[in-house]
Amino acid sequence: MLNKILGIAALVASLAVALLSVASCGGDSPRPGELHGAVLSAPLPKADFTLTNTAGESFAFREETQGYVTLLFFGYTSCPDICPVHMANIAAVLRKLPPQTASRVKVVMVTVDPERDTPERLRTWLNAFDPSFVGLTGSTEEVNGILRSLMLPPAVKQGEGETDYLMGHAAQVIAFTTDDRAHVVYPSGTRQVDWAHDLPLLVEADWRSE
Amino acid sequence: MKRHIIGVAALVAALSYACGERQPERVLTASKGHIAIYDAVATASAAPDVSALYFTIANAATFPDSLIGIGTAAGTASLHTVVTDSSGVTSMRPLAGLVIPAGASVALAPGGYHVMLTELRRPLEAGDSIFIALDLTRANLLRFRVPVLTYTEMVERLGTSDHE
Repeated sequence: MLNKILGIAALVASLAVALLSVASCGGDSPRPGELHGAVLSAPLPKADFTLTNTAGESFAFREETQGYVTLLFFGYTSCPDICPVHMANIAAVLRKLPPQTASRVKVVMVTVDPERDTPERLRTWLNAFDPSFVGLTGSTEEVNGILRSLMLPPAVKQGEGETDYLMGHAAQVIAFTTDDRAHVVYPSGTRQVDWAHDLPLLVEADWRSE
Repeated sequence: MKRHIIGVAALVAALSYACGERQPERVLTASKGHIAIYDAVATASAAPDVSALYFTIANAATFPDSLIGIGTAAGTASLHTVVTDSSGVTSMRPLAGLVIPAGASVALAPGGYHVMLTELRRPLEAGDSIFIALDLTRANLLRFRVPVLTYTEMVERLGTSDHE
């Protein structure tokens, strides 16, 4: 009887060890300096918000992107340089990565210009890069609240025109990993070689050991 | 002999292009007197009414010149730079002009100096081309045709800006 109990205990213990080792497979978290992106000194918790996607449905960011490496960007479609260049670079790199890596990455763009960026306009703009990219709209207050929660400055309207104005906004792409935190951000000027280097690492990283 | 040297130089260039960091040759778009325009590219519109235009201006003269105007029948062209303030807000700032120092070149490239094209008469599509006129204080008007590439093709062609 005692032998039987000990045998079961040993079996449970070995199962637990096996489970733990499976859970930690996929590699350690990238070492400092290994990533090309700007590693944050303190990781950011994953933003928790609900906005409207380009199909007019509500999109709960945290739930909808659970389990994916999620690249979150705040921009606007009347932006000729920073925003389309980020989107074009990410889209080009995702097309070149193995599908099993690329399929684990979601790209979400939140417009900081809800006055001009209708869901239709945002969809057309994103389709120029990748139809799978998610576009979200919300009120200026909602979007600035999300920016604040990510320690980013609110977007600023520049110019007096009704429709003819520019937006100032945080220009970095925030990379949330599957541990629901962001350890690294990608500033304007991030090149395709940087994305191609980092995205597979972010997909494979296991940050839970930290 | 000269032909051999050129052949070897071309081979070396081809090999370094194939295996090293990509350093694409500058492509001459247009020139007039002391001013040469390289690598002029317009982007296909992602939003129907907005695009960007990039080029490098080289000034071979012993005096500076200034770009003071940009025009195109395709829409409204305005020169911008990109700045990030102390709070982390990145925005475009209109520039009245751009000085091209003597014997130097200034690159308009993603993330830095660029021409914003707005109020487009019709969306620019990859494969199109548009006519551009530049006005410089010394060289006066330069007119040239610019190919339209997708944003991805443009970035792969030009890289990103290294200006601060």
